[in-house]
Amino acid sequence: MSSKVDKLVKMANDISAFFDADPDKTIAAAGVKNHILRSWDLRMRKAIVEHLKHHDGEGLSPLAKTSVAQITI
Amino acid sequence: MSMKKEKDFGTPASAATETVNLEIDGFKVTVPAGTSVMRAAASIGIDIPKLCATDSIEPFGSCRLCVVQIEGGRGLPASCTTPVFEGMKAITQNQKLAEVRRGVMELYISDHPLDCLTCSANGDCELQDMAGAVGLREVRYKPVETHLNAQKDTSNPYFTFDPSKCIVCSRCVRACEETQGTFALTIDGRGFDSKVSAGQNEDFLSSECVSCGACVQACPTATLMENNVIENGQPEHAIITTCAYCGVGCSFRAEMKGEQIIRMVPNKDGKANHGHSCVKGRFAFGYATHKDRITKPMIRASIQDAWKEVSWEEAIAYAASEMKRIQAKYGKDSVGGLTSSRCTNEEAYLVQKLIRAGFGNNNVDTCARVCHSPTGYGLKQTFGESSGTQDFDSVMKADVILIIGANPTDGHPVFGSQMKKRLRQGANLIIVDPREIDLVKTPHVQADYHLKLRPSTNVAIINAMAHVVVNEGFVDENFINARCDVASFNKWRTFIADERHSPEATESITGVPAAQMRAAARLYATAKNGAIYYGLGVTEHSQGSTMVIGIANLAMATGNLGRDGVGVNPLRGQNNVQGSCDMGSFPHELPGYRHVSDPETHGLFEKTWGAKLSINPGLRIPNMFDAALDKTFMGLYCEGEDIAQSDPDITHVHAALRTMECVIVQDIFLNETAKFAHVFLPGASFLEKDGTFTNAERRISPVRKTMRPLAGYADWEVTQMLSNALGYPMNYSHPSEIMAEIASLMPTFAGVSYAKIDELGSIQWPCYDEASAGTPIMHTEEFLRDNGKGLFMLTEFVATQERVNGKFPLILTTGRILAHYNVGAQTRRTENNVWHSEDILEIHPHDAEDRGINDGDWVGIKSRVGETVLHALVSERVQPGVVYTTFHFPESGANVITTDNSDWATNCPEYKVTAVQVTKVTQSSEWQDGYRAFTENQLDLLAQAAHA
Repeated sequence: MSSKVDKLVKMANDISAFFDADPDKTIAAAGVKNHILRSWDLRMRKAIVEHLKHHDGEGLSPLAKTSVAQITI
Repeated sequence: MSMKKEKDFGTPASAATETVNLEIDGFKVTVPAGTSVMRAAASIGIDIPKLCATDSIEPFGSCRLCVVQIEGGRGLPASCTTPVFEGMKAITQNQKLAEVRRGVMELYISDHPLDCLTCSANGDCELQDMAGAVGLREVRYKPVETHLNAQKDTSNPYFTFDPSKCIVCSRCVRACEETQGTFALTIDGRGFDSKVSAGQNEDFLSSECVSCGACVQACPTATLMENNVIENGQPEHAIITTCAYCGVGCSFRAEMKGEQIIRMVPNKDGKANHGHSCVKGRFAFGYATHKDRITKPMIRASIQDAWKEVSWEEAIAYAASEMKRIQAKYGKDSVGGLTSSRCTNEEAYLVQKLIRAGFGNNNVDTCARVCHSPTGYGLKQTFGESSGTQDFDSVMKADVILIIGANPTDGHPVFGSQMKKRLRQGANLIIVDPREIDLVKTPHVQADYHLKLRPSTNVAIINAMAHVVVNEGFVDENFINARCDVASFNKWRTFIADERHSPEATESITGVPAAQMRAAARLYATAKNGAIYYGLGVTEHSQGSTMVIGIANLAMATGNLGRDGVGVNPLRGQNNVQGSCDMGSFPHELPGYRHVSDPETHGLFEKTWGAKLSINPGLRIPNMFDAALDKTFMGLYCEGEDIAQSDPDITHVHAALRTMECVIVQDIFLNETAKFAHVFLPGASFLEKDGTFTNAERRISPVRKTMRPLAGYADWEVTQMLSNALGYPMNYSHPSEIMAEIASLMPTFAGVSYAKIDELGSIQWPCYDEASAGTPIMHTEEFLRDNGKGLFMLTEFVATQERVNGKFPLILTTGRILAHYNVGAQTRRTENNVWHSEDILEIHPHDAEDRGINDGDWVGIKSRVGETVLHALVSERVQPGVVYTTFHFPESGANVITTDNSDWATNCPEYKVTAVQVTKVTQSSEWQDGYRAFTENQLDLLAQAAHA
């Protein structure tokens, strides 16, 4: 992974670690997705979606993967 | 613009609500019970002569000048210490009183130099005034021994103590105790030998004096006098304005002589400071006219080139053309800008407007990114508004004060003094901090509990306290049912009740004994009024937002919201950090914290601004750096910020700045960021422009022009010129017009106007309509969320990824010190360097001994990202395993070692947790050597500008 994608993966995982506290993982995934949609610049969103698409989201936590999969550009 | 003095009523106002009727010199007067005769008289324009009394401190009754007669009473009581009573008849002037007063004055003057014409206080001396008031015409006494040859103490850089002029009225001593709470002064000796003494017969500089100026303010003679007045004479007019340092936002009288500032005097009517000040606001204003000020616009093609001074027209045209060129080459989103918490609301508003409407993207951010962005996020989520809940005065009703990760006596000193006053009155105190801040133990104040936690474990602590609240039955069920989202509370209750959050289970994480955590939680939870104050020790963590949410959860669970004496109170760092955030400085929010994609808001702004706006969030500051290195962000307009010093992992920041093709810096100095700039637009200090600042209690206060801008333009005018050159027209003729636009767009500012600020002095938002005087305490009826209910959120403790190991066994945490402010660009250019001339590393004796380190040794501090060298201070203020430094000097390179770890929600850097190793060294670091060479080169390129 490039350092740029590394950082985005770390950011997505950090966000997921917060929302993962919710026992309802559907709610947790929605929380992660909404947070990314509401706070990430478009080029960052595109990059993480591409990373999931082309590299199977290497490095993303399970919740982060689920959430990023729900993001449409 | 007159020099009209503030009226001195002699004694403080009574807070009583019941009133008393009396007669003074035959005039009827009604005053609150508990009012002194002196104050009652002053309230109807009868000024009883006085020397030892002033209305900022409690009466003392020592000078005997204010004696009066009370009908039916005995003797001649002092009017300052005599309270009124119903039906009282007081006489303030008759022959007998006049003789006594004249006798008193004769004694005072017999041991006072008769040099009025050449005295620095000439025209501003209460002793001189009283001599006139009592009609003193001769002094019959010829004392054998006097104090007239007592030596001056000139050790303090800002004021002189001349004991030959002292009348030992104790006003300075009492101001130091009551107003400041430092207790640095005392009356030493007895009888004739009585004298004011700093510390244990030390000079002022060596004593515990913090140079707040309260003693100088209280002194009725020229005994304690500002050096500026001694050197330049008395000011001739005064303008009320607001301090440009910390988030307390003190109101000051800028006392002037023409356009020369003579002194800054705290404004008695200032609602944030009530006539008090700190060393920075009171004295450290010399930077504003420092020789380092740059007053000519400059440009250059590359940072290797010499600067070239140009006209404003050329600089603005060049800056605009470069930004347009970059956008044409790299795309619309390849440029952005930063607003400043050191500039006014109106200026922050204009910069973000320029970026959103002029650049056509949302790439705007501000320094709150690196300080209180988690506050904005956490309180918006839970309470519905990104701000603290109280006014400062609320602390005077608090019964238990819980301070988390804040050091008010250093970071917010004037509020720190108010807090100390409440603590001396008996409020309990809990401190959560890895380091022993002054409030843990200071004269007449001692914390009930100091939870000395390991850095990075805040969330475990707040969860443990909440666990105690829930499991020991301290929940305020009535508050929850009436005011909160009950479903979210029930979910949270189940979460927090789990054993993993108990003090016993978290003791191994936090290092705080479980019994201590439980006791502290019980103390807070059972308080009639429990108030939480927090600072960057909460926010600057990877779980900064989680911790803010945890604090909000705890306050809601215990019902400590919505009234006087309680609340959640973020102590904001910079003077206008609240305001710059309010003004829409975040890349995902338009002014008023409304998301850029919200259709209604988006439509409103597009219509008002007449521009197409993006619905996509822009880049945050750290994202800008990453994008720069990725060659997708190549132009930056940076107003009043110094990211090249203040941001973490500075080597990365510098690399990003070097990559950008056009960096425009608008500042008063060639700061660290300007060394990487291609366009320099000279800024104006807060003394050179009109506008408003918003402090930590949401108080919008006036900033008023006291002198013309040294470079010709206020910052809002420069932004306007740049916007016009970019093709997006702005045509404001005064900042009041900008505020009018803000008020038309932000519901919470709807009732704000310059006319109302002038009328009221200041306004706390929300201020919804023209009739509203603002909102000192928020959420009194309902929260500002859509459903009006407070939201509980789950706050799992997640350990930081910054771990200690054998190679990096210590945790470095950073903070600030009283004498300096933020990156130090202002205070380093003042005499405040006398107190703190370099950043030093505090290290515990055990860790120092292990490494053979002694006080004053050079030590290398190495983290996973960099290394720097500082002098060591061996101190038990830090716990074993923790080292501490400040970040006020660029050459220290504190941010060479901090990492890019950041808050999960906002990317606020984790400044407070960096794993390091500390070793004794003999020379500066490689980075420091490189920094010195780079700086020398840049200063040389600057010097060439004037000769180009």
